[in-house]
This record gives sequence, structure tokens and C-alpha cells, in this order.
Amino acid sequence: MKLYLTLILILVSILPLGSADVEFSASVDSEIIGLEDYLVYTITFKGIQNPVPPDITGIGDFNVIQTSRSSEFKFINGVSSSYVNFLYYLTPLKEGELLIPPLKYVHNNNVFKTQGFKIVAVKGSIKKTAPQKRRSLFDLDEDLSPFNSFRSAPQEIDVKLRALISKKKALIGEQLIYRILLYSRNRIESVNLISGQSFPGFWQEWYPVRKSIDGVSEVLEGKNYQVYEIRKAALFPSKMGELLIPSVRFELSLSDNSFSFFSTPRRITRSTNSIRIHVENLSANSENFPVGRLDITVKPEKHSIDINELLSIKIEVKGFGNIKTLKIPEFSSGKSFKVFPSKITRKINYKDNGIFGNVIAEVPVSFKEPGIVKIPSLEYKYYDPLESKLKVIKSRELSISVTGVREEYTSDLNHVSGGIAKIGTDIDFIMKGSIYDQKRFVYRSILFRVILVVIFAGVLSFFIYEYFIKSYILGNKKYRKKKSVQSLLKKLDGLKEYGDVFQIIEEYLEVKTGIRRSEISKSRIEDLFYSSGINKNDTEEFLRIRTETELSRFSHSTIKTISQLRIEITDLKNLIKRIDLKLK
Amino acid sequence: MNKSIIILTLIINMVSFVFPTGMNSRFAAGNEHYENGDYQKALEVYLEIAENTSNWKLFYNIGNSYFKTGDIVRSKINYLKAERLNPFDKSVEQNIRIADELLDNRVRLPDPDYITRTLMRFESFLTINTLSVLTLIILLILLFFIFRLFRAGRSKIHIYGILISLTLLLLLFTYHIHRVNSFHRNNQAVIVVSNSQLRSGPGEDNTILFEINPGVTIRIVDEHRNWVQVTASSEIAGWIEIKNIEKISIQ
Repeated sequence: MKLYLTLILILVSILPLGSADVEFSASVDSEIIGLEDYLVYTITFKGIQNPVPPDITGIGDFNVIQTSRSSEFKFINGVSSSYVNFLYYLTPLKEGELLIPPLKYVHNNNVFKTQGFKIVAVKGSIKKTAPQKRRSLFDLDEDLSPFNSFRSAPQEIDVKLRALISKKKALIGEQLIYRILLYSRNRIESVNLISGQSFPGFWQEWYPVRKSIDGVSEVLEGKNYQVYEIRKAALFPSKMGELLIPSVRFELSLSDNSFSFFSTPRRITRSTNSIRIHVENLSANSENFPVGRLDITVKPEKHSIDINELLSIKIEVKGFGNIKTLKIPEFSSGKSFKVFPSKITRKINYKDNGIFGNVIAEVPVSFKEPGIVKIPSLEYKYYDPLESKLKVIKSRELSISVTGVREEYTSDLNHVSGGIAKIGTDIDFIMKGSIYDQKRFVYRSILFRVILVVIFAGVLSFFIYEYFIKSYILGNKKYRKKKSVQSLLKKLDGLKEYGDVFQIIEEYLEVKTGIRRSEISKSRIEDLFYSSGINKNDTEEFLRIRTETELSRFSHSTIKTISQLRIEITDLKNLIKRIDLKLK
Repeated sequence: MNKSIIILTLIINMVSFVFPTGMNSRFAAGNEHYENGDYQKALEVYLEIAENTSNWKLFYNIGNSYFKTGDIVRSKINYLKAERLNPFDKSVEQNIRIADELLDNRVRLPDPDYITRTLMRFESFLTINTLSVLTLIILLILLFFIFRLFRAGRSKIHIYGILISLTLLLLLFTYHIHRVNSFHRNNQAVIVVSNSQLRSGPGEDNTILFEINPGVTIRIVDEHRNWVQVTASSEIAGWIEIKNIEKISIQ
């Protein structure tokens, strides 16, 4: 069963191939063409998948301007056929009867041959030129193939840019239209500006770049071009003299490539020509006025208003000119009304013949008294370059009916302490008393800084004492020993009774030798002094004083006068100094 | 003896730092000119003092002098300076209102909300100097507790004393920095040039949104080269050239 199924599947898959007959044919779309026309020569392969492009070098009477390839698969009455078409766009090289010779093609050792064609070429053009139709640049959805509507595409790149200006002699502030045109005999996919577009000496207003640009056909130097307006700007010269509009550079992507069947975009760059313009100043009486064709209208929001309401008056200046620099004339406050700052809006329309727009100022106005209030007309001056004269236009006078009673300006101030006595219109009182500099802050004063430094130093010293001096210096044994003799001598100086000497000597020995006070005895001192190399006389003298001072605490017979005590203590101090040098 | 001389010198230094000598006599002289109706002379004296001194009374009187000499815009600028140094003063507020009335100025910055206003009142009570002294006192209290901890040993009162005073010190110190920064930050300004234009962006190529009169108070939101982004009211905002405004700065 499985074997049958496999065989059926193989047969089914082979059948279409077997049914596809191989054919090789050629056709032309016309047998009579003009010298300016082109001919579409189609070579069709049937039943050959992925054929090699045929050799057409034998076609000598024609120039091949473009090639293309297409393939399709058809099912007709259950029979499938694959077709591959090679299209050649040919232009005749001469007038008269021309020949497209038969072409040969070898496939699987079979030789296939097309028929030959005789084509009559006549002068001029007999075909309706496709590019006559306005077509869109960049609008690829409409026309993916360059030959559907634009069949005069040449094989060589022929693209030019031209910059045009509406006037080469202009006045300061006059509107000029600057256009950049693209002349092309190729299919353009995209256009990108790659240089700056700032022109010194001009106020520029560039038109928005359109998504789709329509082209028109134009013959230039005997060649038919598609012309596209790719950029446009309104230029307003801002200074007089010879001004230069520099060239502008673009990068263009071309989609046609005559040497490849598969179109690949190719990038090229082109620049516009630079343009010189002579700019003159306006006449002396017209200087600083706007240039263009303008009109002014003044409209109130309403003609009747309550005195406590604000009326909005709309002043509009519109027309052709540099809308962005137009200034609106202003109302001055009158006896019966006050004018407040206005809100200004500008609108620009990009017309073919220049920038057109308007500037609207919405002016709030309040009224001081009821009745009919006349708001005077506004005068507006501008220079008209077409009529070459200064024009003065006037808006109409407004008449506003004001009703109601004006609410007086009220104040919640009734105090006098602050110094205001009269309210509303005048200021008579001033501040008195002492003043001080409020921006001189206490934290910036020297005293404040000194206090901070002292606090910081105190804290630092405290911690140094607690963590360093106390632990590492005062607690050190050597230091303590060294200090002990000084302490002893100092205590001896302040001594008033002889008996107190004993206590001080004992304390000294304890600190100096490390022997506890209870362990200090005559024999221990002798041993210690001996081992330290202290001479015998000093040892005996020391022991004598020790014994004598110990006894003097309990016996009045040993009481000494102050002078005797001083002599004794001086001797003792000298003795202790000698002992301390050697005592370990 | 020497210590007493040093402390006395420091106190004199501190006093003279805040109260420069001769300032009050010149201020009184300026007031005298004003009362005699010589507003121009009074203004000259006040402005001379103001070169080195910033005081709300001084700015108030400068504002009055400008007002009397007819320069209402400058008058308002000085009232605003006085208001910065002494917020909520009724006299200053009233004079600003009078100046606005004469300038036909109805463009107003939005009033601060209740919380901001309460905070402003608190700040006007607790001056930067008070705050500095308070911070110093808290620092000394903290050090006292630390010293006691070392000397008398650990106890609850010492630990809580340290914690509370340390927290207070940090809060006061941070608030002090904030107050000093906000004092020097001047985001308020006044339009000084006629027909000043508010544009949609920094640069003359941008669209003009409003034309605004001198004397209007604005708040600076952003700065870009010679342009500042400002708000004049809840509806009026835009970019203006810096030369068209004067900041309410206390130099």
C-alpha cells in the first residue's frame, strides 16, 4: 500500500514538469516607430526555469536603453506553465527599415530560435509620449516600474538641478520666490538636502516639503526631461547691495540601472547654481515700513458692553509679505478707555505666488465711563513694490456703547502703621527708623566663623586627648616614671611639714620601681639601690631621711623650723635627682 | 584682659558687619530730602546706600522716590525687592497694587496656594539669621551631651539628648542651606521694555505669542543664552530676551 502511495506521489510531482513544453519566442510591440520613440522587444521562455539571458549583441540597428525581466506561473485547464520574459527597450539608431535578427538559444542540447523582425523607423515620434502625463515623484505605490508611465528613461544618468529666483532686482523686505527644480531623465527615488540652506542677507521662509511632487515634461537642449520642483522658499532681502544665494547640494537616489535586471538604487549628488541679486533700499520716506500688499481691518468683539467688562478688539493685518516680521499698529489709551497688552497670533499660507497670511492682535480694552466711546481709526503704512510707492491705509473708527456704573478700585487697606495714608493714586509716606543690611547674614560674620572654628578645635582636642594622649602618652610606663620625679619635686616644694616627706618618697618609689607600697622596706631599698649602681652614701642618706620623716610623723622632737625644713628639702631634692638618674 | 579685648573686637566686627557705620545717618538724610519734596535728591542718597546695603525699608523708599519722579516701572521693581525682604508687609503690597493700577497692569501671576502661603509666613518669621543662631545653639547642646557622655558615663538622658539634638541639628542645617539658596535664587522679574514680545521659543525666528507691557511681573522658568522662559499669568507664557526684563535680585 505504502509503495503505491509513494509511486502516486512521485507521478503527481513529475506530471507538471512533463506537461510543460519548452518554448522560446520573441515579439515586438510595434513594427513602425519614430526615431524619438522606443520599441519593446520581448523574449519569452516557456518551461525553462531560471534561463540565462539571451545574447542580443546581434541587434545592431538599435540602441538598448533599458532591460527588464519578469517571470510568471500560469495554470491553464489544469496544465501549469512557467514563463520568463526578458524585455529590451530599444531606440532606433537610424531612419529606414531596420532588422532585429532571429535569436538562438540552446537548452538541454536543443537549439531554439526566434523569428526576426523588420522594423520601420521614421523621423520624429509617432507614439504618444508617456511622460506627457503628469506623474508623481516618490509616489512609488502608483508606479513601481519606471516604464509604466515614463518610458523615455535613458540608460545614462542625466539629472540636473536648477535654482530660480522670481526677481534679480529687488527691494529690501520684498518677497522673492526661490525655487529649486530637478530635471531628470532617470527614475528618482528620493531627494535629500545635504548642504545648508541658510542664505546670508535674507529672511527665509521655506515652504513645507511635500510628500509627493508632481513632475512636468520639459524639453531642454533637445532632450525631454521630467521637471520637479523639489524646494521652494520665500526670501526677503534684509540688506542692500549685491547679495548671493549660494548653491545648495542634494543627494539623489536613482532607481534605474540599465546594466542590471534587478534595479538597485544609486546615489548621486548634484548642486544648484548660485544666484546673484541686486537689492536696493526703499525710498527715504518708506524706510522701516513693511513691504508687500497688505490690508488692515479692526473689529470689536461686540459694539455694546458693560463698563466693568473687557472688550476684545481684533486688529488684523493680512496680505502678501513677511508675515513673521509684521508689526501691528497699536491703540493708545484714551480718556475714556484703557488698552491692555494684546495677544498676537500669526498664520501663514504658502501660495504658488508667495507667502500670504495674517497677523491678528486681540487687544483687551476697558472703559472708564459709560456712554458712546469712540475708538479712533488705526493708520497702517506699507510699501507696495508692484506700484513702487508707499501706501497708507486706515481702519474704520469704532463706536462702542458702554453701559453700567463703574466699580471703583477698592482697597482692603485701612491701616496707617505701614505708612500709606492716601490710597489709590499717591504715595506720600516713607519708611523711617534704623536700617541694616538684610543680605549680610550672621553666618557670614567673622565671630560666627570663629565660634565654629573654636568649637571644632575644642571637639578635636577633646577626642585627641581622650583617644590618643590619654591612652598612648599618659598611660605609658616610661612617661609615668619620668613624670614621677617631677611630680615628687613639685610636691616637695609645696611641703609644710617634715612628716609628709615620707608619703611622697613612698609614692615616688612605688611609681618609679613598680614595687607596691606595702612591700617597700629598708632592705628592699638597699638591694634595689645597689643593683641600680647608686653609691653607698646616697643610699644611706636616702634611708636616713626616710626613717627620720617616718618617725617625725609620730614624734614632736623631730619638728623642724621652716628654714631647717627648706634646707633639708633642698638637700633631699638634690639627692633624689641623683638617685633618679640611676634607679631602674 | 587680652581675652576680653579679643571678644569685644569680634562682637564689634559682627555688629559692624550687619550694621555698617554711617548708613542710618545717610538714610535719615535721604528721608529728609524726600519729606522736603526733593525726590530726585532723596533717590540719589537712597541709591548710594543701596550700593552696599539691602533693606526692605530702603527699597520701599527707593520705590516711593521713583514713583514720585514718574518712573512707575522702577518703582514697582523696588517694591518687589522690598517684598522679597519683608514678605506680607501691607504697605509694600499696597504700593505694588497702586503701581500696577497706574501701569494699567492686570496681568497677574497666580496667587500661591494655602500651603505655600503658610510656609512663606513661617519663613518670614524665622529669618536666616535666627536660623543660624538656632543652629549654633543646637550644636552646642549636642556637644554638651557628648562631653557628658564621656565624662559622666552612659545614661539615658545623655543618649536621648544626643539623638534629639543631632536630629534637630541636621534638620536645621538642611533648612538653613535651603533658605540661603532660595534667598539667592531670583526667579522673579519685571518687564522693562515697551512692546516686549513673548515668543514660542528662544530666538527671533520663533512665533510672537504676546506683546507685553512694561511693569508686568513675570516668573522665570528657564534660561537659554540671552533668552528666558517666563510666565506672566496662568495663560501668558513664552520666551523673552533677557535685555527686556529686570530681575528682582538682592545684590
